[in-house]
Amino acid sequence: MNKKHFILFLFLVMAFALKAQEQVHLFPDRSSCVSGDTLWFNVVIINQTPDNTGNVIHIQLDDLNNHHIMKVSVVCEGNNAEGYLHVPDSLSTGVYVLKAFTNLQKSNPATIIHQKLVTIYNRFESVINLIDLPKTNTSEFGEIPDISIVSNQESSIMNVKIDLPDNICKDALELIVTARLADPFADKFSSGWVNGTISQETEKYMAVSENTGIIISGRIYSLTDGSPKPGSTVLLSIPDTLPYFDYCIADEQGRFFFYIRNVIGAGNLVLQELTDNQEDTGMELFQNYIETPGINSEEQVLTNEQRSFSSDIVKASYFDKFFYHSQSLSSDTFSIRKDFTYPFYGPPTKSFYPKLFIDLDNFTEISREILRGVQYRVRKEQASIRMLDYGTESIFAGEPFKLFDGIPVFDPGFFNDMGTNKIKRVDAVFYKRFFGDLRFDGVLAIYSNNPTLSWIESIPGVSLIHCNYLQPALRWNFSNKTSRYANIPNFEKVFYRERMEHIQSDNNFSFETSDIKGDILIEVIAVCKGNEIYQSRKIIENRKQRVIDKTGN
Amino acid sequence: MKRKLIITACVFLLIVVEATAQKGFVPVKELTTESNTLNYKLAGKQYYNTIIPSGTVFLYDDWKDGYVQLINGDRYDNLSLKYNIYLDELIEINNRSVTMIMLDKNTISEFGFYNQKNDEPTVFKKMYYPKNPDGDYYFNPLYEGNLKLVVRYRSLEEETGLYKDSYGIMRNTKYSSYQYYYVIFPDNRFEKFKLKRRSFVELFEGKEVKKEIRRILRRNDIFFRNDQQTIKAVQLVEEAFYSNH
Repeated sequence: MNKKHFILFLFLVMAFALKAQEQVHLFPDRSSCVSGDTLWFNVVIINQTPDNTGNVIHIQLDDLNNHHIMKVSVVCEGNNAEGYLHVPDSLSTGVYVLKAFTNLQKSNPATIIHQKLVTIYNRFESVINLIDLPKTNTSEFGEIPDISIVSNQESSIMNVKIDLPDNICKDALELIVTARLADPFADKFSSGWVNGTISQETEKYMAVSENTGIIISGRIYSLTDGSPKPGSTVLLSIPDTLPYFDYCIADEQGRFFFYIRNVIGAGNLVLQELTDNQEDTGMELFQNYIETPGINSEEQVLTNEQRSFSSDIVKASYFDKFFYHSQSLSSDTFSIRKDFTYPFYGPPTKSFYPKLFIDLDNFTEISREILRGVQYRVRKEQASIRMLDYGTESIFAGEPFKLFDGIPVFDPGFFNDMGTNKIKRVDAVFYKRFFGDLRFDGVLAIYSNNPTLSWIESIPGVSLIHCNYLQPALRWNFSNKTSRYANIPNFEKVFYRERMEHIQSDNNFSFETSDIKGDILIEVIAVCKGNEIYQSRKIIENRKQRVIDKTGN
Repeated sequence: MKRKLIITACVFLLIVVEATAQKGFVPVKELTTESNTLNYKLAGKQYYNTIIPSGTVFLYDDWKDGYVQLINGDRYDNLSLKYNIYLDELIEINNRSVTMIMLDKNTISEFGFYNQKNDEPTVFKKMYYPKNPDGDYYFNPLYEGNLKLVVRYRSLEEETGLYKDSYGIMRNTKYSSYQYYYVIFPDNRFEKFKLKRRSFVELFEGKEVKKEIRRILRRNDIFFRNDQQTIKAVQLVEEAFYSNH
C-alpha cells in the first residue's frame, strides 16, 4: 500500500514538474513552402519562471535525420516573438523540422522540444513524385470549443467571419489567425507537433538566460597538436563606429564565451588570442544548435492531387520571383546599440586628425610631426611604440594597446607604411587603462579613411567570422491587402495573418485569394491564461480562381 | 654565512619590488576564469594616491564594500570601493591586479556602500547638474518623489595659515568636507539650500506658498536637525503643492 502511494506521489511530482517547465511553441505561417521562400513564424513561451529574465528564442531548421540547415535568434516582446527564415534555395525536397528553444533549456534534460514539421519543395524540381513521410505520432492542441468560421467569396475576395465563445474571449491572451493555401500532403501532419528531447550531444556550455543578446562560445586550441589552450585570453572585437571589445579567459577545456547584447543582424567579428605567438592558435565557434533524436520516415508516393499541388506552387514560386523579385527581405542589416558614450578604452586623452596636416608618407613621420606623446621608432627592422604616462608623468615601459579600426594589433610594424592619406583619426590614451582585469600601458587607436577587413587575412592566428546575431524585428506585412498589381497574377501562398491581443467575440476579415489552384485553410490559434493553447482549422473551397496553365498564364 | 646570504637576497628582492611599485607598475597575476563575466567589464584608469596634508578627499577613509551599477543595467556586487569627493570619482581596488582603478564615470549610473546587516545601502546616483560648472556628478538621493531631495558630498582644498604636516613639510592648504543639500524640482531645476527653515522656504516662489510652507513646518515641528526631518519637510511640501505633477 505504501509503495503504491509512493509511486503515485512520484508520478504526480513528475507530471507537475513536466507541466511547470518552460515550453516554447512555434507557429509557422505555412505548412509547406518552396526552397528560396521566406517562412514566417510566431513563437510563444509559456510557463516561464519569474527569475528567468531571458527573452531570446533560437529557431533552427533541421532535416529528419537531425542535420542542421540554419538557425535564427529572435527577441520576445512579453512572451511572444515573430521572425522569419529564408529557406535556402538549394534545399532538396522533403519534410523538415523546425525546433524552437531558449539557451537556458539546453541545461535541463527534461526539456521537451515541440518540433513542427514543414514540407519544403525544391524550386528546381518541376515534378515531385516521392517524399520521405515522417512515421511518428504528433501531439495536438485542443480544439477551440464552439468556434464558428464562416466564409463567403466574391470573385477573388474571400470574406471570413470568426465567432469565438465568450470564455475564450475572456481567457485568451493572444489570437493568431492565418489564411493560406491548404497543402494536400503537408497538412496531413502540420497541425500538431512532435515531442523531442534534448540529446546528450547538445553543447551545454554557458546555458544561461539571454536577454536581448546571444552567447557566442567556442574553443581555442593549438594548431600544432590540437590540444586545448586553457588560460588563454581570447579577444573579441566587432568593428563599428564605436568598436566593440571584450575578452574571455579559456577554461581547462579551452572553451570561451562572449555575451553579445543589442547586436542586430549579421556581421563580422574578429577573434584572436592575447599572446606574442598567435601563429600556433586555432579557434572554432560552437554552432549553438540543439540535438534531438532523428525522426523515422518512409518513402511515400504522392497522389495525383499532391503532385499537382507541389508542381503548381513550384511554378508559382518561379513566377513570383520573376515578377516580385525586388520585394525580397534584406538580410544584410547590422547594428549595435551603443549603451556607452566612449569605446572600451574610455575617453581619449587626445584625438589627432592627420589629414589636417601636411602629407606625410609613413607612421614614423606622423608620430614625430603630429602625435605628441607617441614615440614610434624602427631600429633594425624592429618597430616599437612608447607613449607618455600622464599618471606618473613618465614614459610607459611597455607597448601600448594598439587598435586598427577597432581591432587589436600586436605588431607595431603594421603601422609603418601608413601615411596621412590613409589615417582618418588617432585616439591616444596617456594613462594606464583597465578593462576588467586587462591592463594596458596606454592605448593607441588608429582609424582609417576606408575601413576594410581584408588586412586581417594576412595576420596569422586572427579569425574573421561572419556571425548571425539577433534577427532584425520585421513584421509580416506584405499581405492582408488587395492585389499588389492588377495586371500581374497573385502567387501568394499565405493570404492573411494577424496576431491579436485585444480579442473580440466576432472577427471579420477579408483577403484576396491567389491564382494558385487549391483550397484555403483558415487556422485560429488561441493562447489562453493558465498556459492553455487551443487550435482550430477549417478548409474552405476556393471557387473563383484563375488556374495557372503550363505556360504560367 | 648561508643564512646571511639568504637574508641579503630577500632584502634585495624587497627593495626591487618596492622600487617597481613606486614606478607605478602593478604585479601581474595570471588571469583565470574568475575574470570572466556576462556583464560589461568595469573600465577605468589607474588611480594614484596623493598626499593629503590635512583633512580627507574621501567620503570614507577606509575601503568599503559596495556595488556598482552600469548605465546598461549591469551590476557588480561586493567590490572594495572608495568615493573621492574631491574629484567626484569612484575608486575600486581590483583584487586580481592589486591596483586602484578610477572607474569611468561615463559608464556608471549608480553605486552604493553596504551598511550593516539589513540596512539599506548608502546610494549615490549619477545626475546631470545643469548649473555652472555643469556636468555629471554623484548625488546621494534622500527622497525621490515629484520633488527630490539629494545631497552632494564635496571636499574642497582651502588655504590656511602655514603649518607643518605629519611629514614635517610646510603647508598652507587643507581639505575640508562639506555636504550640500539640493531640492530637484519637477522641471529638473536644482536648488541648493541650507538646513534652516528660512533657506528651505526661500526655495519656493509666491508669498502665499511661502506662508503655507512656514505653517506646515511649524505644525510638524520641523527644524532641519537631521536628514529625517529634511525628508519629511520635502514630503509635506510635495503633498501640499506638487502631488499632481
